[in-house]
Amino acid sequence: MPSNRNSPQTQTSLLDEQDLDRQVLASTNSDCSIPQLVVASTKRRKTTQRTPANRVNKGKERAVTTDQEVLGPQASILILPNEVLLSIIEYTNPTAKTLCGLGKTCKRLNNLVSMDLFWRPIVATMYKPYTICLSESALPPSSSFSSTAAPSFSSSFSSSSASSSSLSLLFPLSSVTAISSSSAAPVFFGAAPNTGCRQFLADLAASMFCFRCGDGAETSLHVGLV
Amino acid sequence: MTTKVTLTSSDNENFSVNKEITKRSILIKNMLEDVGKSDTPIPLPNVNSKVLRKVIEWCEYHCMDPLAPTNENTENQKQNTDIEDWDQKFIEVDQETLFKIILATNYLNIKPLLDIGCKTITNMIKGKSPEEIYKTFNIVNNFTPKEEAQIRKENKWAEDQ
Repeated sequence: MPSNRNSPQTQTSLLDEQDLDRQVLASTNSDCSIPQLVVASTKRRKTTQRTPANRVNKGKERAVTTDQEVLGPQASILILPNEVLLSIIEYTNPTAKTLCGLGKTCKRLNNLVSMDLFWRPIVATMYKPYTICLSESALPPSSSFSSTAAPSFSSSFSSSSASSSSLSLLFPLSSVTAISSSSAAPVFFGAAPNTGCRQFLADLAASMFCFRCGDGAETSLHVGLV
Repeated sequence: MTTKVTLTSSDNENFSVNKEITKRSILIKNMLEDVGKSDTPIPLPNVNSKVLRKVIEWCEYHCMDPLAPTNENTENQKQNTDIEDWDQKFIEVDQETLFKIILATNYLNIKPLLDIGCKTITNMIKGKSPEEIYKTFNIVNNFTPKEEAQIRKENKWAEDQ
């Protein structure tokens, strides 16, 4: 999705993503109609994206000219319609790495792998239920940092306010309390974001430190293990 | 008693198939229900004879399968990309044919066969680098160099996951 690339962290990119997902859902419901998945990019690039009406029932022609981006020979995977590609990607049980790898190959696949559909499970693994957070003793004391938008947690604010405040600026919508444990991925408490998941992860990775390895962290408080 | 239905492929080849077998295809099943009794051949303009022959072969082999699997079943299938031996052999075709079979089953609405096709491609994708994926699937990289650099930069975080 172009907005992902061009304007990170903007509200519009979130909205676009929501749109995208809704349209995908619509496409899985109806059998042969393929909604214009890349509305935003169509506007930007002035490509002639085909509408469902002239895509359906065109016989062999459909395979040849499904999309502007299909220029390769008949044996290209891109002759397949989006809903088929989506279920193929779903079958791979994709990780962030495979999704980004696929996204690198071409624009259409990049649009497809940006769907929240694929990223939600990945983001969800980083989250734990709220209740655990409430018992203070459950937190590993040396390795906790917290950034929170919910005032009830602000007492647990650590002194490393630089990183904390930047995080809460990044994710003002979800009341995020982040505790890095010794595992590779950080653990968050609260509701996992439902939309804009790919951007969420990218923002997180682009924040002051690498949440995975601690690269760039200024103090050990920033990440669980340095 | 067996009634025959005639299917006509895009290259005008006629296939006479048992009615029960054609009902594997939800498209044809619905069509037959709508039309009622009729001897008119069913035109399938999206499917050529080579692909249609393959699809009919699959339907004939699987004619004893239960028609609609339950929902839980399909949920489980999502997790597992194993393919039955016979189907595995069946789907060992060149890539172009594989894509055409998938297109045809998507059009004819034969969910189990579509799943087999998708799983086959999934297994081909698994463990491949983007470069290998370009090659394997004939994907034309249509990013401008600038866009590609941007993508690379943005995806960097996921690379060492």
